[in-house]
Amino acid sequence: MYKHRDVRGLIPHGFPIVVAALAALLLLLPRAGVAQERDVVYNQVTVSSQEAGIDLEFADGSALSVTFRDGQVRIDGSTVGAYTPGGTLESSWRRLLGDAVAGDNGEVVRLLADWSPPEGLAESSAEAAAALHAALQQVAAPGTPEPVRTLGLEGDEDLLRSLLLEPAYLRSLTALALEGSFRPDRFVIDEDVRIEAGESLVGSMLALDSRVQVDGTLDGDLVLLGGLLRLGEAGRITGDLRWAEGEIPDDRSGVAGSASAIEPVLGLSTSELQDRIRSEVRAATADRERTTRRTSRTFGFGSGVLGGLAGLVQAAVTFGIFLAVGLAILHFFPRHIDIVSRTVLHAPGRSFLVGIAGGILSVPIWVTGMIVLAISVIGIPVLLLWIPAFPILVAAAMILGYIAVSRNVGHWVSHRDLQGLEGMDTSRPAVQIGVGLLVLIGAFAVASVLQIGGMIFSPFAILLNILGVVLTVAAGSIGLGAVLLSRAGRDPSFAGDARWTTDPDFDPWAPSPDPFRPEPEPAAPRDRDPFTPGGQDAPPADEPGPNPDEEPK
Amino acid sequence: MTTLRWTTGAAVLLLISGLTGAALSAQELTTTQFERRASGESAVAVEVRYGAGEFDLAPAATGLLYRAVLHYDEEDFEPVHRFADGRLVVGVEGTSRSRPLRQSSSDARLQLRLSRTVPQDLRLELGAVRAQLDLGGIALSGLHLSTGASDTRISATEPNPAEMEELRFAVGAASLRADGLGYLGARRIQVEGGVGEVRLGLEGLERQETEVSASVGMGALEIRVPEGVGIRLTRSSFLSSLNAPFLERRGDAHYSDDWDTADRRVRISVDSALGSVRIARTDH
Repeated sequence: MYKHRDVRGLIPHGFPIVVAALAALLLLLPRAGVAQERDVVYNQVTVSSQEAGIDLEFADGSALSVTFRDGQVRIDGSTVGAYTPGGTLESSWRRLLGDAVAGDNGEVVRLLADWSPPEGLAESSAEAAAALHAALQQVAAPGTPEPVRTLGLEGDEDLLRSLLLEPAYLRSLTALALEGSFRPDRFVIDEDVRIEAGESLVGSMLALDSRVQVDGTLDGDLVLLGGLLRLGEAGRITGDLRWAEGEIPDDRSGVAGSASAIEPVLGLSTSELQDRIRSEVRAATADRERTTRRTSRTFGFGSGVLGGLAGLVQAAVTFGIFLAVGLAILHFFPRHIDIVSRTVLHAPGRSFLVGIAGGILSVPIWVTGMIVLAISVIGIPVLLLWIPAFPILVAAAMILGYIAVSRNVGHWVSHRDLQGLEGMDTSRPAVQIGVGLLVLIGAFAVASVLQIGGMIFSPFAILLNILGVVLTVAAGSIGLGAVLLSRAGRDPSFAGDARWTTDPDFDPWAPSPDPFRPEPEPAAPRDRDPFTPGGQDAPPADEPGPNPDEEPK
Repeated sequence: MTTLRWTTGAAVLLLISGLTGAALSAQELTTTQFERRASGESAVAVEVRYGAGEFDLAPAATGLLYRAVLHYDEEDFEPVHRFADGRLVVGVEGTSRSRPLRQSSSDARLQLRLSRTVPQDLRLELGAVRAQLDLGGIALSGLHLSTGASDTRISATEPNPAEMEELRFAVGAASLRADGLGYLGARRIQVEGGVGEVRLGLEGLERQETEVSASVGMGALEIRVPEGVGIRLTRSSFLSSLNAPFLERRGDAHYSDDWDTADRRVRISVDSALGSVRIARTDH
């Protein structure tokens, strides 16, 4: 016996949420392709080498965000699938955003609504493309949306469970949703429904696991998922009949429209689904494991290694830049740097004091100059030059002075009997500059190496860093002072003997004498060693010979 | 020895150019678009801050409040976009990662489209920018252009839908050429020039009384006034020249011959230290 029930106004209590969602999707699908764009009040498009995304804000306060980044497609912050960087899906998406930016007339909404996934995508990309397509369809909505029924979950947990365990129903509902041709007005779940003879029911019906007896007229479509259908002699269905997993009479002459089984959406079998879930869980677990390990390394031993390596690279880059600048100065301004170097050598204290004073006073001088030029009408054009030029000049002076000090340090170091310098011609100014820079910047490099060693070396690393700062400040101050005293290497007043400054044959790259070596005492005439070539007064073979350009002291 | 010198010099130059080239080749531009539809705003204050690159301003499509498309190097710059309480700020600003060797601003670009219907008080702060401003049709209630070393071209070919009170240009060492300023309908036009070249064309002038005030330090100022518009010029200058042969001196001012009969008049006040001032006629 069937339970007889009038289906007019029938909305079951406790309609499962899955069916509710799919049914709502059915209700929201456009009718006969007539659609109207939603009111997008704001959009933001970002396209870079690493990211391609769009953010939309709708007039009703809702928002939509789609981002392609790091091989993942995210919609509203949730990953919906993957894409191959540079692949078909990403290219199509970037082309869409490019058109949106180039449109110049607010066509973003239409472009998004018209987008469709490209053909021939891989499975992972196809999944993302389908989700993206569905999301973008939200941009186009029916002109007059009808209110969606409010469906609750009061009981029916067993039915929900059975639906979730019966993927064929869900796939059939999905197929209907994608067809977009069916819009149910009524839902019947696990009910006995009878339309009596002479009775007419207007509106389409979706019946799940129900027994439907039509003796009268159903003015609309009928979709049957499970259950059975009985058509009486006078029973008529004015629309289409669609079914899945149901018992349908062979005689369907009472159906005015088409009658066909629903082709479920091709999907994964239960076992395939389980395999996929397992693989996803494994991948997520592995990611978490990797993240945990990386984090532990980063905040433990790794931080010292990374910091130390970064410090080494920084020191090396600094050394390279200063060496390049030093060689350029040596090449193009050889006498200037020589005079500055000799000023450092002959007046180090005075250079230091002048450098400190110059460094302190440079800012007030700069500001005062700006004020003076600003209040004088004629000085306004000069002001535009003064503002950038003065700091550049000060910086250039400090660099010139630092290079000159480096040369002197290198000069001094290279004339010590140090291991490792045997194979180098340390009498050449270019080599001296390099050696000097190594000494001045070396403290930072050694500190970085100690930092790699771990916490136990930290105190030494800190001390070396302090030493490096002190050396840099001292060298910069002395150098700046020497530059100021020598008027950027043009005034040899403090440079001691400067005959070479006017020597037309002066070669800045040639070996130079050691200015740090004390003057040799005049030796008393002795008998020459008849067994030594040149006698006893000849210099050792590993020392440079006298420079013919050097003036005897 | 000379060979050694030149070889080393060339090596240094190659090193420096190589570093620069590597930095340039690594440049990748990011494109960001901000677009908002008008939704009942009565007025908007628009502030544009743009330091280097190309800037293009034009009216927006119907229904849009604004649309900004920024092309920039995200290694050195980041986009600025804020819209709240009727105030829009847009542009780019440097990041802490900016590298001095890079010339990333060379390809940077800002395209801005502003509403035709919502009155906007527009403030432009441009640095070393090549700017093309098509103001015709944009609803402007005010315009203040401050530019350092830019090359700016302004044009207007249709009337301003909004009432404009003041139009101000502060030009440093820049080149500014403006045509069709009359279409904007400003009651007062104020120019502060430094050492650049400024040319103001008042084509499209419909207002009965317009006041133009120019203060120029050094450089050239040219003001083009349409035929049929009466001109009154007063100037305070020091070592600057005036070229306005069609103006007649009467007392402390110079007048065009149609000053007494013209239904549209322009009062020009020039304060210049050095450089030249030229007043010319134009057909429109």
